[in-house]
Amino acid sequence: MGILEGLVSGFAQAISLEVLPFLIVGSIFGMIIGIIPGLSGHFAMAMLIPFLYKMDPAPGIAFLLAAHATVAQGGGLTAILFSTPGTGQNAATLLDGPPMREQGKAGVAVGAAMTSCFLGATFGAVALALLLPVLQQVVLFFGPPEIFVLSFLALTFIAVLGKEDMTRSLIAGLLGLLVSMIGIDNVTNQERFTFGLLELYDGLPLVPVILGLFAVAEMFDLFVKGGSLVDKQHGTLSAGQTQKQIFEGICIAFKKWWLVMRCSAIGTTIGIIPGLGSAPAAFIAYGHAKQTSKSKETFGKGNIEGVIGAEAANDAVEGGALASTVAFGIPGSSSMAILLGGLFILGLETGVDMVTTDVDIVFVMIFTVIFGNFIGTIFGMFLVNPIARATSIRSSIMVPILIAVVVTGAFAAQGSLFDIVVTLIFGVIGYLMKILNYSRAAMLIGYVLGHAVEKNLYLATQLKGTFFFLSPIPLTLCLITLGFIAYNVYGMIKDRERL
Amino acid sequence: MANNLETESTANADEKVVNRNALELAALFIAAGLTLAALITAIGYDFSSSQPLFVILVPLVLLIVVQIYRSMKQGDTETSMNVVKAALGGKILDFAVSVKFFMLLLALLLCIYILGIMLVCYFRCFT
Repeated sequence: MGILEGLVSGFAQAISLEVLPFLIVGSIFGMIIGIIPGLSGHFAMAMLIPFLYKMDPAPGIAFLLAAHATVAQGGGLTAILFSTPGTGQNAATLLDGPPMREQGKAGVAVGAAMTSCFLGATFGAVALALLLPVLQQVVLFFGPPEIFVLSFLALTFIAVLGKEDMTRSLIAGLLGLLVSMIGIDNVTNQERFTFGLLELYDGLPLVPVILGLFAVAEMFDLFVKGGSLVDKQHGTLSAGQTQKQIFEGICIAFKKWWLVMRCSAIGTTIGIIPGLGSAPAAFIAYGHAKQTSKSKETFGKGNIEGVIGAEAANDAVEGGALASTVAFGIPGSSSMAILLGGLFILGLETGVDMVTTDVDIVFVMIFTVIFGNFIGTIFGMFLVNPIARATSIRSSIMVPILIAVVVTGAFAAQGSLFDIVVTLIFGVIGYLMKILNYSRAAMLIGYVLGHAVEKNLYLATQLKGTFFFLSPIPLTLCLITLGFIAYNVYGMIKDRERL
Repeated sequence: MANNLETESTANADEKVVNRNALELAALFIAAGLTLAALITAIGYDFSSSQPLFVILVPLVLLIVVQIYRSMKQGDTETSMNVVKAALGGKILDFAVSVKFFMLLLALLLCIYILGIMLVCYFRCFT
């Protein structure tokens, strides 16, 4: 399918009656999850995964991706209104959002943040569309040996660049790969780690693993912390005041279009690199906004440029992250790993097929990111006060409700009690990883990539022999991986010596 | 008064670090045991099936050993053992609450199982 044909088909599908309702519901769901502190984008996606079994590809993707797209908007809203970022990626908004609220300009900050999110996401999505012809050519150079080595490079990037400790993240990534090997080997029919259990013959089911690692683990955390989700309720604005200020904020974001573009470019570029994610992108963009501003001294005291820069970069990340996911099947973050899992459930293959044959699906993703953020912006602007009340719900009420939804989701996927057991086991593992600072993202990415790693290792050894990694591209990727680890280990040793 | 509060919060933070270190050590020893068992099991598999397992397990075992070494360097083994004993005795609040939540989840699972069996029996007997 050609790019123009894919664009038209993708747009038509995105606005069709089969897809649009799911896109709207997904956006609103993501927004609400974003507002609730402690729950993030991967939680929103994990909750929606069980629904995909009965869905067609386009509505399924719209549902999943729209929820993820609006999470940052919801998180930005609570960062400004309650000084509590709904998600970690909104931490940079805390620097100037709350000071603006203290000055009585909460509505302006919300309006500017929402609009910057939308513009940033649109920038990222357009960048992905423009990258598509390049990706179509590049992906042809990537056969089994290249994909095998690239998977390890991605895991290394995630382990080194992620917020967690490098060794712990590498352990998590390899454990994820190991877990994915459970089941019958497709090539030799060898049973591996099945303990004679029929339920394990097809490997560990994807949905319960995702729900356990991200949803149940968060429930453990909320239960242990207890109390209300936001301790301090700052006075919300009246509806009239809010709308007036929000429109002022929208105008300011459009006036600062050049700053939005620059910060979005930073976000998109960082999104392409696996492991970095939204939070560093937002801080780098914030730093850039401060550096280039005429009023540097007001940053941190309520400068709207700080809010615009951080929020634009936050959402622009998605375009870049989607590029490596759809082209190479290498997810750069836990959310992208869940998306990849969702694509498997919907019967879609990433890689050459996705960027050459299923171009319309890529454009459904692009339009979902744009429309999802637009819906989130509209929804957020008019319902700031009511939806912000979600933060006052006590965890003792929230946890049982969400657990019921999670358990139903785990069971509904295959109608098996075993899946609920897997969910609970991975819930405990996820919670342990969370409190011990082990990267759950690395584990999930390892688990999702496991099948591709094994398949490509087998094909690579069959096609090019044991020393397949000595071909030019795999060798270069191997050297980058080893050099990257060596450089970071060197840095760690240097730091220790200095102390 | 302020000084007392500060000392108390520092002590709490230190206690949390010690507890976390002990928990990590316990988890790592379990992971190391399971990984070694997996490695030994993998030796018995057909070479094509065990090849990717070796690619994963060999560096994994090495990394776990490195992490155990790092954790043991951070805190002494005796303290860690005492923390594990205290946790198992229900003396560490966060751990006790986590266990309580896990028990609630197990109870939920049991309820689902029993209700499922009852429903199956009902439909077999009356329909």
